[in-house]
Amino acid sequence: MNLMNKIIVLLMSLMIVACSQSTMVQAKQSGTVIIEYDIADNAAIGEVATAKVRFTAKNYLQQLLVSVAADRGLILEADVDQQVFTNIEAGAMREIDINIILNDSKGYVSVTVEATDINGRISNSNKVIKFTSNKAGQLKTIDKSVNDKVDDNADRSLILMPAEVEH
Amino acid sequence: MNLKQFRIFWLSGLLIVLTGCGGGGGGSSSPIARDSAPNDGGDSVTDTTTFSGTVTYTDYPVTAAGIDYDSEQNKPVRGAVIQLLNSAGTEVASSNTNSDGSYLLSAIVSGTARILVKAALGELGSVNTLVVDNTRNNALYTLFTDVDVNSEAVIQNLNAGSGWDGSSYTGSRSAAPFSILDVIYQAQQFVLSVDDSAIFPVLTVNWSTLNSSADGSISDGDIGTSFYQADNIFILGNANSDTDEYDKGVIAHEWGHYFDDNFSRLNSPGGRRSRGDILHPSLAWAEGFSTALAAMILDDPLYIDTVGLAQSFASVTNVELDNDSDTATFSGGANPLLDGYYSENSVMELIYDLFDTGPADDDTIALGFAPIYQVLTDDLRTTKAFASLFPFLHYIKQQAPANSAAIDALFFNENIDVANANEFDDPSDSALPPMYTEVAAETTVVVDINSEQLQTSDDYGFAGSFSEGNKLLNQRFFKATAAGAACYTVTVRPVVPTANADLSLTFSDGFKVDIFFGGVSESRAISLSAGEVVTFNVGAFSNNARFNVSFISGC
Repeated sequence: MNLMNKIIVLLMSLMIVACSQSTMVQAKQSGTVIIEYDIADNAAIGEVATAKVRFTAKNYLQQLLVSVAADRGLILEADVDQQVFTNIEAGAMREIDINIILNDSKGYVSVTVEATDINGRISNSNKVIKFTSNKAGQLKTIDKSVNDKVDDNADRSLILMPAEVEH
Repeated sequence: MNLKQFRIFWLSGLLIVLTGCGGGGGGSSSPIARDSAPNDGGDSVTDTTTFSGTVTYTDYPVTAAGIDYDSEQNKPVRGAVIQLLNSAGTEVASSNTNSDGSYLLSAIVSGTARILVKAALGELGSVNTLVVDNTRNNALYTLFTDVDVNSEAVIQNLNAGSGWDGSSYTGSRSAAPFSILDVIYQAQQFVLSVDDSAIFPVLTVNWSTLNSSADGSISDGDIGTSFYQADNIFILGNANSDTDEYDKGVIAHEWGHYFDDNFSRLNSPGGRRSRGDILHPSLAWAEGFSTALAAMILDDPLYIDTVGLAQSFASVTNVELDNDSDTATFSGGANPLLDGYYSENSVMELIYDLFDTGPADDDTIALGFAPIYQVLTDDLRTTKAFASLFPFLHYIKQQAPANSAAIDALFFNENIDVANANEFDDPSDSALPPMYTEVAAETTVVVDINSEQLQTSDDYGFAGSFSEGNKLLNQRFFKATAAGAACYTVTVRPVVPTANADLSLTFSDGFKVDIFFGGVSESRAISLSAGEVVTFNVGAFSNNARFNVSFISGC
């Protein structure tokens, strides 16, 4: 094997090792409703932006209670903050519009659902929708990248939280 | 030796002498002479001061009605790193809190001293668990108080408060990182109870009040949900939407993935899923096992996930119950029963049933954790089969032969055909193809056992969108056996080699070749002995991707 071939083999090995180290996200279970959303164009600060939020039932639901609340960085413009849907077949979709006015570069709306299935079992889940003032309403791609393993770094900064003490 | 060097030498000698006078204490100590608290005679005081007390955090139980803020109680901070700093900010002693939250530090110190309690387990300098804020440069949560040193025995209790004022969080949520830490302490103790030599690799837990279910940047707190990835756990903390710091089941569940990853084998593709999904068998195994492990660790079969305004709603799963009717079926595909090796609930219920005992136990088996731990950390780490219910069933019966018939009965009731199950699969479920497709040496396989073109399937969920390719048959398993000792090449090729036909190739030992050469063949060369088995898993970026598999000697 000449030198060039050895270098190629070495590089290939390194690339395969790099690929083999990818890991997946092990997430907690979500509810029985799939929550998806689209955001209209460019949520500029001070202007109204609209998000369409869709709820897809994975199984038949007797009832779906949707609650919407402003989280931070925006004002929620809504007539009601709750909506109830009933008798939703498996795979069926319901949709609501959420209107907001950003008062910061980032704003968050919290959408919580309470789903009651055919047996009366209740499950809850939440989706926070993020609005940003950049790039015409395009949400950032989720970045699950994490830092390398860390050990106890003496230089690690601390978040100092005052203790409750008896005086 | 010049004058400067002489001074350093002299001062060093003095420090050694003072250290010799300082006495000991729990953990390390670096006595420093008091320089501002003269005694009656006007000389410097060099007496050791002891600092003791108890460290607690404010905790709340969780119920089907959410976090029960009316049942507040202070619980001990166990095993946390505690440090004593002198008035100059220099560490003079360190230790760990005890199992009752008590601590004892001693040092020669005067004026004002600072006590730090870090949200970290393990010895200072070699901690194994840290709770940090991913939205603030991974800074470590640390409780502190300053004390005036005016006696030789300072008693100081510290509590990490919750910040809850009766209707909302208005103060510092200092208790949260210690609530999380305590679940992990409990998890470690649970493992140590069956293996006192267990060593815990470094785990970083990322929690922030900004951690929400939004999708976006981790550093903004947009983590999507609580999850585990690569020795990091991310925990939700966004009040009035979804917080998990008091949801001990959720924390212990995510720690279960860390355990799986480091002590056993994590073959799960991960991703989102919901109750009743027909899952990739390794995903069903990982999720069901982690929930069962959480119940074992916490000695509580209720897995509760609080959510919503004022954290006043919850989803509750009782791992002791049969959560899916024995006759309930999935709508779609071959309409399989909800119970089965692809069901997270089935895995969860079976593992917990093997473990538990007591009045609430609804079966006759009570193995405890030791044999389960043995299978997880030994057999499941080395088997050629992908992690799923099948190798676990195969090996747990070997660990507990006296219970073999009872275990079979238990699994049979959960739609596992134990009479035909082996380490690799249950081949007799006619509604579904066998879990593995055999690939003979020196052949290329183009069709499955039903003579249909090999392809990923969307029968139980699309590969894209929220399904994330983690449902049953979104990916396909293969098993090949070496005819003789040789280097073999495993190759998967899309039938139509377009970009959307991008395949992934994953082996049961965790080796992964995917997306790198998108749209063309993926392969791995592997040296095998005669008769040695290799198993691998093929997935695809798109639905219904058709492909061929070959297993040819020569590399």
